[in-house]
Amino acid sequence: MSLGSVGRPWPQIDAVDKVRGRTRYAADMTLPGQLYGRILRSPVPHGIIRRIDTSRALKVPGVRAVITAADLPPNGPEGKGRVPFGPYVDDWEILCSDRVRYIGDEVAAVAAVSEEAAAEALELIEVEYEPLPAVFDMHEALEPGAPVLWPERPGNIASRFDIARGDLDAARRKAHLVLEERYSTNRIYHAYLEPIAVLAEAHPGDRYTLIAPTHIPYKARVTYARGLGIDPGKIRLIVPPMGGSFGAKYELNVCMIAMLLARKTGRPVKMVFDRAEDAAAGHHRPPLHFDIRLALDRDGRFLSKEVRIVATAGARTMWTPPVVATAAHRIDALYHFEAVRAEALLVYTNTSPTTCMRGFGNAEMLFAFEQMVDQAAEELGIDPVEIRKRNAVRAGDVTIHGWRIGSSALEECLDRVALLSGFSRRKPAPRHPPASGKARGLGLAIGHHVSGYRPILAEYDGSAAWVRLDMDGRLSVAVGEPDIGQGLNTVVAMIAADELGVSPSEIDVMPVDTAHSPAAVGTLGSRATIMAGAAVKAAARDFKKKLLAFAGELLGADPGELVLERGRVLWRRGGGESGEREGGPGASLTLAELGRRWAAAHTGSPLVGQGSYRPETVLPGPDKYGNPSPAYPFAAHVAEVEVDVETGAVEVVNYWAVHDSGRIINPSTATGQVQGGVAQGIGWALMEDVAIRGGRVENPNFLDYRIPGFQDVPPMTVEFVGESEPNSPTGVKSLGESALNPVLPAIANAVYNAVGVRIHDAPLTPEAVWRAIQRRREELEAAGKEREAQ
Amino acid sequence: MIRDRWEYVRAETLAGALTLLASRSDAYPLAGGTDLVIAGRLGRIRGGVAVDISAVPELQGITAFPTEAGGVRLRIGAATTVSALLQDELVQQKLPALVDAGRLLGGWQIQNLATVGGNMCNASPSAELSPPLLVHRAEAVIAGPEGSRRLGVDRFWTGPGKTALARGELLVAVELETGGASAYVRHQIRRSVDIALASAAAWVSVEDERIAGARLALGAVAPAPLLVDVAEEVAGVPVRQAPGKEPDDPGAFGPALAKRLQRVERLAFAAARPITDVRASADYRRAVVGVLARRALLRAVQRALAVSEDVETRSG
Repeated sequence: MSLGSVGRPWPQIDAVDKVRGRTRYAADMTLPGQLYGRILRSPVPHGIIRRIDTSRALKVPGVRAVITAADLPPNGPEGKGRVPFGPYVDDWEILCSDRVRYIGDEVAAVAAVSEEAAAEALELIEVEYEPLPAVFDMHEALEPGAPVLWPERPGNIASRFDIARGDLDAARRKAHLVLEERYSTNRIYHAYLEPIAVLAEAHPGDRYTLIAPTHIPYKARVTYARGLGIDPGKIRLIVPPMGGSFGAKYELNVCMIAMLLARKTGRPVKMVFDRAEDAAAGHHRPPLHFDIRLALDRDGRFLSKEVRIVATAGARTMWTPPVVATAAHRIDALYHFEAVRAEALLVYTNTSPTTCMRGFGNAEMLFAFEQMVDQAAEELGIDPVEIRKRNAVRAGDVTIHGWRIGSSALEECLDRVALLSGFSRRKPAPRHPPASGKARGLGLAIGHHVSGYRPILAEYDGSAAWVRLDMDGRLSVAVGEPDIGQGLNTVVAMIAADELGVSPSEIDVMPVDTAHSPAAVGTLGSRATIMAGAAVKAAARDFKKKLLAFAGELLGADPGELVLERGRVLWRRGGGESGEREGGPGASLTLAELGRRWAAAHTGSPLVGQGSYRPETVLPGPDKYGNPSPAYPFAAHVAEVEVDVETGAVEVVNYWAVHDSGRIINPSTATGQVQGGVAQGIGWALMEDVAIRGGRVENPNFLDYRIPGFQDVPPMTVEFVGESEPNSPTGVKSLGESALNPVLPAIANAVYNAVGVRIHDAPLTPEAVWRAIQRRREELEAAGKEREAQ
Repeated sequence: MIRDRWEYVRAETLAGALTLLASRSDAYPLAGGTDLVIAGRLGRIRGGVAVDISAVPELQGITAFPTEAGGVRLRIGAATTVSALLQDELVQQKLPALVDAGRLLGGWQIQNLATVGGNMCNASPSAELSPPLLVHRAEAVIAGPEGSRRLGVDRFWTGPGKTALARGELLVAVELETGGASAYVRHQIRRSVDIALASAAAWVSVEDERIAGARLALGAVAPAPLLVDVAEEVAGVPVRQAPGKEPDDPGAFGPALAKRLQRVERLAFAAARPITDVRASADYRRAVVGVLARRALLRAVQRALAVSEDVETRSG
């Protein structure tokens, strides 16, 4: 193992192909005879469909099919009728039957021999809408008399989450300081490089092949099967290389539309969104509103926390319910509280449906809470590092909801990031915003996450993997978790390589394909490396055992005397390596030879090792008590900003991130995760915002929806601390989401430290900061006048 | 996706270009294509004939010629790309505001395609090159079916996407005065590849450590770029580098200028007639453009002093 790859930087195995443009994404693929599909989307935010006439569209040369809700197959009980369905709430239709609920809602779809013919046909579909009053703001949607999107869900409540534990009254009675604050986070676009693209083929017997980037192929096909009224096993889902997703590409209506068009035409159908369609009618991070009451004792210990959250579902419910639940109570695994209560409402509005994104509600809550921790520290005269240490969970702790913290190096993260950033040089925030020039400030925030989350799938948690040696000597690994660009395949190859004594470059990681891969929960909840990695390790060990036994038979050796290293099995006894031939110590067999001989001895069968990992987690019952994740990663970040006090422009000039993610398999990809998370967080904190007016997305392009460029991302120091996680077979925890989680509050705390103005609503655009500075000056002026008057 | 019918014709001569442009009502001049192609993709223009003018000889090159007053005048062909502009030594020496603006225009790929004439004729209120051209008193050289004419750029832009060009007319070149020093600053959200939320260009001439002349132009705060008369406010004001002050500090060149700059800021604030849109609100734009006006002037003064210092050093 000492010569292994784990723990050393290893380039992503697909990096060269990606950089050279050789990776073939869904949009690059062409199936024989394929048609091009396009979606007709609603131009009105809310309305009743009075009439659809597709006859002119069907006459366009090259058009092969036009479908509307009338063409949807039965999916009701016993194969009769149409019923709504969906991953969390049954409010999906595929194509709108009688009502449209947002600008972009799917009304009809076309398949044609060319993109041009499909586009022309779209313009010729006649739809008559009877407009209905619409509501775009989640608070307005909750008011009595607001337009109701789904009559069967009165009050526009898509879902709710409630949790309470501990004696709130008793905790509050001890309070020395009570903070009551309101914060909000905004709607942002995942802004992946690859817009949504899928290909579908229909086969006889209700069977389909779907090529679609998704994090969760096995779960997605369950949703699609419900929508189409078929068995999930009839859908073969192949996951091509993914050009980014960050949570957007879980389950998408367009997949079912492509399948239906393929069924209707009998030809493969390819559907690719352009950027404007993707940015407007793809899906966004939900806006969240927080009202938080935090009670602390004189020493800054947290006593009670009460939270009310309102979140936007949009026109139907995608993956936002668990996001809202996460926002409501995951912070309780970062800090201890004596008592907590949270209620969260997910609300329909006539806007594009929201879904999950990296950070999954936790990042939103941290934006609010980590600012409140700084507020409390300032009011109580406690150092920001110290107040966090006093309240944070520690290794071995059981949290208020029964979550078990196996390891935590959070204190070390805090100490290290304070040292690296020179946090002790931080001056108190100015009482008056400076009049001109640029003001500098330092801000600290911590964060955490899960490493897999038990309630994602009721049936099971964990992962399975196969390691396989073919007749031609090829070694391959199969897992059910797709690589979403974060480098999972590289890490999986490294883990397998070290067990098998080969280089990671000698291992093929198979694309995820439901026809061949192990079934899996998928790549979400920061679970892929810990789950798939552990399964691969187990599979590699099983493989090795079988391989050595077989080699032992061939060599006439005891398997205990054989070792697997550098691509061959070696008979170790006697130490000498002189013998090149079978039949004595020193003899060896290469993997290629073993693959050939195994296949010959087993009539062509490959040598397969199987392994799985089942974490000791609990599916929480109605009481929401019990440990849902095998491990919890932690991080402490410090941002240094420079604020142009005359324009409100914020520049992040330095950034330090120290993470405890357990054992680091690949320092190169791990550092990349943190750098990417920080860059993404800087974008969200300072510039990203989906602007919706009258239900229309006003900035569905990268000119007015800005993501950070190189000049917006400062030099970054990234370090890892902490030990191997005891509850993880490979020692890893997770990193994907904890990389992003502390970024917003670190920047917001730094802005406060620079100019003495606290921003409660993300993002901190120049205009927002400028307004806050103006308001602060007016308040100070008014207070000054009042004093004079007295 | 372009789904409309487009034809492409390449003009070899100015006369040929004018004939082609006059031949059809849906004929559009095509130079770098960084605006036209996107307008087509977004369906703002539904097809037509793209007349490629990028090879027309009269639209090429940057040339200098002496003026009667003994100065130098620059002629910049309309088909000059922004990167060619940035690489021109005379432009670098004589028109620093135009260099500031060109560097901020799009990214490298855009700068390699986009042309000076295209940026002018697209007539975006936030176009980078407009305020520098205004403060350098550029003149547009226009050719048309009736012959050619000249027009000060202060009368060239008439509204968002609108110019004084009549149908069938083509911008051939711009000509600018040189002398003095200039600077351009913009307010942006992203630090590269963004467009101006508000912008300002300033030009000053300094004689004997006093401001002899000044001009100010604002972008993205009115339907067309605005020239603001500030000459009287700052004429005769003594300027001298104050030790230890950053150039953006209002007091960087002495208290007298600092005081006048407050008035410049107010003039800019008062002249601005911005709109509220997805990029910024009107009152924010107005407040920021005042700050930008002051900063542009300070930077221009700094450059003017650096130039005169340079001259002194060389002559001494």
